[in-house]
Amino acid sequence: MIVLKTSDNETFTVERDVAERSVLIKNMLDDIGENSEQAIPLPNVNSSVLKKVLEYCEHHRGEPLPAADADTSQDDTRKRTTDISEWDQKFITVDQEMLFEIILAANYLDIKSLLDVGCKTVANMIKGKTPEEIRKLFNIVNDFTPEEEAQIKKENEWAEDR
Amino acid sequence: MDTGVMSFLQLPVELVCDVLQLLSVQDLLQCNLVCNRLHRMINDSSALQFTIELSRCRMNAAPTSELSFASRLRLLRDREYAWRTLNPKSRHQLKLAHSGTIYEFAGGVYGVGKEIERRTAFITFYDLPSVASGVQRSIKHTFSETNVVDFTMDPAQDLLVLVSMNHDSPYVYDLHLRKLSTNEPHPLAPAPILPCYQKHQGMNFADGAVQIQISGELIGFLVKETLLSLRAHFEVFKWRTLFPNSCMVKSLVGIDDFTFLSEDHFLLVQPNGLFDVYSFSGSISDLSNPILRASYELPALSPAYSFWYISLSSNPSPDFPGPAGENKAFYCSPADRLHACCIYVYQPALPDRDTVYPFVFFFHPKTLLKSQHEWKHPSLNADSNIFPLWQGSNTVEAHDDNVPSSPTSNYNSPVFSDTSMPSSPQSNPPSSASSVSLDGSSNDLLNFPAPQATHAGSSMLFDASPSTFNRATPTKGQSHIRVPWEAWGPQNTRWFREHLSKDWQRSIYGLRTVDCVVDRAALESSIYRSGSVGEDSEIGQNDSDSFIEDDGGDESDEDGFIFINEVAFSVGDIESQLGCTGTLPKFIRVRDFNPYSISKAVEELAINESLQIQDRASPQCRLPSYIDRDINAFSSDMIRDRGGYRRVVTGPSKVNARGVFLENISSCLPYVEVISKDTFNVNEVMMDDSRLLLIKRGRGRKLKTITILDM
Repeated sequence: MIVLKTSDNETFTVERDVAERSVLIKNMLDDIGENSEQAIPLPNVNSSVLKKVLEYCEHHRGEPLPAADADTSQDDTRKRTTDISEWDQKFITVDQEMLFEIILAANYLDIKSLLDVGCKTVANMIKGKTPEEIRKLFNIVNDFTPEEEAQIKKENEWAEDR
Repeated sequence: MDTGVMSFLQLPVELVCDVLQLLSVQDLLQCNLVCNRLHRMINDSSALQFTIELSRCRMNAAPTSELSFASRLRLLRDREYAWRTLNPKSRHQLKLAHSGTIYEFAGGVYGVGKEIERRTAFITFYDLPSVASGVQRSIKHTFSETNVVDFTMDPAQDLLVLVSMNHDSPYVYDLHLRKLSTNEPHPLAPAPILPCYQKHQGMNFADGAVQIQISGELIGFLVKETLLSLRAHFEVFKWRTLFPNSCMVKSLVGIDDFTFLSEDHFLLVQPNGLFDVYSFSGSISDLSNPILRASYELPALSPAYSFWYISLSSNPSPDFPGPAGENKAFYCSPADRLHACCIYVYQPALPDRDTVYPFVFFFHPKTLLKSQHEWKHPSLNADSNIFPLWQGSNTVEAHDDNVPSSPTSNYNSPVFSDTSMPSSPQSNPPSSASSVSLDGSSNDLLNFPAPQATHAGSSMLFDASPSTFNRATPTKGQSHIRVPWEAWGPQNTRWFREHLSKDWQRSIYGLRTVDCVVDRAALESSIYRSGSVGEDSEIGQNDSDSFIEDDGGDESDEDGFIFINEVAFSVGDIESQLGCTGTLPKFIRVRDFNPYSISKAVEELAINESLQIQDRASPQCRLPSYIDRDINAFSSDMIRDRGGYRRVVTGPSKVNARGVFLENISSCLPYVEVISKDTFNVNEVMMDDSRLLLIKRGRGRKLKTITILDM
């Protein structure tokens, strides 16, 4: 069993193969060796987020990890498949704040598949929306001058028949 | 991180970009308009800029590339700039081992056959990227056993398809699926040979021309003018699939040409000028039952005129990089491929059967894939009463083998109604170098019974004759529409006058097309030299016309050259008739139909005032009257005064139909045209995404040199 310690000083005791879904934790464990009883500090993750993340790791335990050097962002630039499995879909149905916290945590802990689910979820939220709807969605203020806006619209004209 | 409310734009830039990377370009452009911060992030990300640039250029990213996004973006932008300004990066000479009549250029490979004793003994394939790198590589495949009559290839799939005729087989043709690199049977093909077109009793050979095209997993094969009772045989093979792996269309009125429009649609051109669009029913895996979706009409001909021949100069195979392909960073989007259609019209009743009126138009395959619903859209035509769209009955029907040998047709054109076809200027119509014609006569095949329909286990046979359009046949719930020219044509095509030529007149890749135009000064001086200039100059030119009116009389000059009435000569014809020993210097002309290229050109032209923007397509020069007599039919479109300029044509243009069509043809598909600064001594020009091939021929059309311009 592995002990993880969150930013708000809560500790979680989990089985090793669950914790090792995180490449960060896996590397740490490899470094400190088998027998360490020490709690692993995760100063960038709070307890509510870690609880959620561990729920994900528990469910996906035993699945093969993506190859370490598979940097998918480099090759398939157009992986527009934003399909998410049913369980993941249910899992990720959380408020926006939690969603972004999960994305941050997945990035920090290096859990590629969870990061993917998070990014896909945000992408799905943006899909098909107008700029105004996107602003509303993320509570963003339009800080363009009318001239700037007109200029960008003009630059986008080529795509109208696409 | 655990303080404050987390929001999207507070994520680190690379995570925001990860999200944006999942969006379509359309969505990405919407994000561009949200706020400054997001706009900057998109602008600063070379991955996202590469995505947007690809979409602008109608390209796809190669699935594997070792280059960074930044270098790929630079490569793409540089290349597009080279195309827009027609300013090649480098120039190389391909060293040729031999000349031959069958040749093909696809995916960075140029292949040319060598005939020995009237059969193709071997084909040499030149790897063009290696020429640019300084070490020219080529492979030679020898065919001792097979009687190769044609070939095509897709280097991206390492696929070479040889068409052979086999006297001992029950089929007329064999399609051999080989590895381009080794000439061995292709490992992905369950059967190394696809037999095609079953022989019938007493039939020793086919007398047709063949056309072959690869499109990913599909191979289309057309046999033309075979039996009189069976004018054309078209078959589509799914070459990676085990038998049965094909479907066919047998047409009683003939099929002039075909092309794949998408991975599940293909186009068959009827000799009467109808574009039939078929799709495979359901999924692509079910090839057995293509369905006629729509028939698109061409402009109406004047009475007494007929289509002599219609050909598609098809875009090469999608050219996506496979394991054996050239290591490319991007490739042309298969969905964005321009097509050209060449139309040759004649008057069957005229004693002078050599009079052929050639035209060419360009279109986007997307146009022909629109649904019935879209064609009814009022914006396409304000007055919908002009063209009542009527529903035809389903023409996909299995018909029995005893088809009448002479179908009754419901159209006016006397298409192939008897054997008195005009003697063609060449036995095989121009425009596709990948077709061959085979010797033989069809007359002795006249009375043979209609052939057995399919090969065993193969698919359904059905009738693609237009006569069935009006026939009340029970439908299977499918119907097709017939779209009049006025509904689809003027908005979605661009027409030009064409010339007859033995040469490959234009090449297409993606949304670009390239051809040559003669340098007027060089033409004039060579006409002077040859002394065949007519003295009289009574044929005037009218400045206000947007095209040159032809008023040609039928002329034979003293040397016995026939100056064909109203036929637009090819440059090659002029060259041979003028007795030029070499070739005339020509400008290279690239026309780009990509909307982004057009807007980019407008932007660049506005900056550089020495270039011009034109709203109308208008002739660039007037022919001086003293050469009118000889080249009056020489379309103004084929001559230029000078090079080194660009123009944008967005307005409608009118092509003089010269009475052939009921009306002059208006068309307005926008394009930008670039004419090279320099002239080249070239007979044919070919292209792919990154290079131009300038082909020069000598006596007997023998290949002399090939110059490669790398863009």
